[in-house]
Amino acid sequence: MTKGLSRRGFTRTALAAGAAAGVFRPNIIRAQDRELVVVSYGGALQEPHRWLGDRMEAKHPGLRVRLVPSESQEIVAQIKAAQGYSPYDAMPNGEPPHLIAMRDGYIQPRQDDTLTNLGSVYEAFLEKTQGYGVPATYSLIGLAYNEDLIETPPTSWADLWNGEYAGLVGICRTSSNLGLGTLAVTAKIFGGSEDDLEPAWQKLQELDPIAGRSPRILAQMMERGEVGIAPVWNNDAAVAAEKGIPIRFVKPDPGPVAIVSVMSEITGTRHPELVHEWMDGIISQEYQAFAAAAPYYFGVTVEGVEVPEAARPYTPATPAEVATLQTVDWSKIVPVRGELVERFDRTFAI
Amino acid sequence: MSAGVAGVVLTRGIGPALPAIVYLVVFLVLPLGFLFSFAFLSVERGEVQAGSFSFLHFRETLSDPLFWRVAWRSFWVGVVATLLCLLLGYPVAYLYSELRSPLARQLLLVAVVAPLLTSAIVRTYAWLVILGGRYGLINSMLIDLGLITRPLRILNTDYAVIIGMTQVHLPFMILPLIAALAGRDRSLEDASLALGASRVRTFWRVTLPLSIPGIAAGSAIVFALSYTNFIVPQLLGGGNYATLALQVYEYIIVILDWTEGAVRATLLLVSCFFFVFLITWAGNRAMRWTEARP
Repeated sequence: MTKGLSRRGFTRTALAAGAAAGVFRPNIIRAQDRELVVVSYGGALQEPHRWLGDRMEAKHPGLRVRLVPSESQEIVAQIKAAQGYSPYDAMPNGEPPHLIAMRDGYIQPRQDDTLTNLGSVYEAFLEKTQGYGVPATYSLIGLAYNEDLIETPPTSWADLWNGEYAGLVGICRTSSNLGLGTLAVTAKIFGGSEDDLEPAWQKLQELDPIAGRSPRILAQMMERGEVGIAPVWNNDAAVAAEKGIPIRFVKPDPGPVAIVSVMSEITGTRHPELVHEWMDGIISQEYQAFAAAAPYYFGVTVEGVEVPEAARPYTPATPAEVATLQTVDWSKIVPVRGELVERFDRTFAI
Repeated sequence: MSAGVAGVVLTRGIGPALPAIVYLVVFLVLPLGFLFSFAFLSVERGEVQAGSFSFLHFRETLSDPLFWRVAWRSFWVGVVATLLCLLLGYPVAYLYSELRSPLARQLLLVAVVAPLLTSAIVRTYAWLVILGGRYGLINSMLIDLGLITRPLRILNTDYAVIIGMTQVHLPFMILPLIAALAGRDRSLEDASLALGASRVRTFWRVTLPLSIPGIAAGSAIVFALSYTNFIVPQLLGGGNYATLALQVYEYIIVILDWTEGAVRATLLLVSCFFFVFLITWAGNRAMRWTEARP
């Protein structure tokens, strides 16, 4: 009844499998020939990238712009493991991973002559890129609170230590830009600096905080009412509020922390011309206006784009507000980033 | 000689398994080999530094109090989850072995296996909904009943991780127990009862020892899965929670320190093998004791 596999049968099967692979392989390669893979954000915050991707696809028939939602740190690890054969073509990085990517050669210097919209970018944001990529948007780290749990809204960073909030304060791990930004601003308001983060560790330990593993998870913890108040990204707070969750965003005194997101060409991209076009699209007025609108509220990096009225609670709209933005000297934080991630576990791991 | 090897490969059942074996070697054994080798080398920006072979990385990690704190937590969570799975799973497996109706048996088996048909991530996310904060099922019920005014903090604690681990891994305990209990020699129990032993005494002296192979197999599987689990502590433990598996991820993906990540991955795997071996050895010892008993 049963018959063993003969040598001839085995050979035939192997040849058939090989032929099948041979037939399908060109399709796979052809598909990738017309595919631009761009690292993006998760959830609703990805929509501006999708909008730009759709426009590029319409302009280049057959092109597919694939967005991969992921944390930039995971992407950097994958690029590092790929040893120069990155599966991605372009990626946005906050300032800390941008500096790491520059240092390690994962991203390429900007070619200004390929970017027609570069002239309208604010000079201050362009300086942040250090000649790599384009300043796509900026986001703010401020305080958000859940109205169901917090009766008295905070007004300053120091309010986090208000006894009324005890047991309800959340922070993000220092493995994220949000966590590093929180650490840096805490150091600054309590007499430290980017060079001296010790005061920040002590003050954060006093909080006995609930920690979120990533900014998105921290925002979800706030949505579920596990955390009442926390430093969060303005965009995450805006998206939550848009969904009807009772979360409010505060730009705390002396000012929220601004972190620029830089869209860069990844070393070894298969489509440098398309990446340049993508980067130029990112700094176009149309894209900037779309990303600045509800519910994303990304900060505008080019001149001539009006900040929408609805974005006012989340982004600075006047020169006076812009002047209050806190910046961090990331060049001092990035070299010790690994130690800061370890220190978080040593200080807070249960 | 080579014709003989080819004959064995093609005619004795190894041939059809070759693709899977090659797949495992290429995508599991070799990457693991590379990973472990990194534990003895220094890797800078993705490149192995020449002449950097050293045992120093292991010595540094083993002398780090944080490593031992985290290793203890991983071990403790593994042990507690295993014990809970055994306590909850044994009665279910016993019930299965006592059911006479094939339909009832099938229904029970489907109920046991059904959770395995969904991803562990989905099941873990379900616990977020049940245990989560103010709007979670448990807290909102307790608040509505007026039993508490402020939500209990269940998520982001050991309790949440252990609850999640136990639920996710329970089928892996029940299935080996069912195999052991359903196939046991019932004439031994009949003999015990006929000789005047009570049902409880018969259970402790006959049924339980006969199920030791199932207990050992289930415990080894559940412990290994819990000790090395990444998803459950990641989602239910919160940002303050650290286990060895989470640290491996953190070092390799976040800190980009492949050497330190590889050291911890090696220690995690070796210690897991050791504990599984210990459980299996203890099971075998218990069986020998049972067989030798007059």
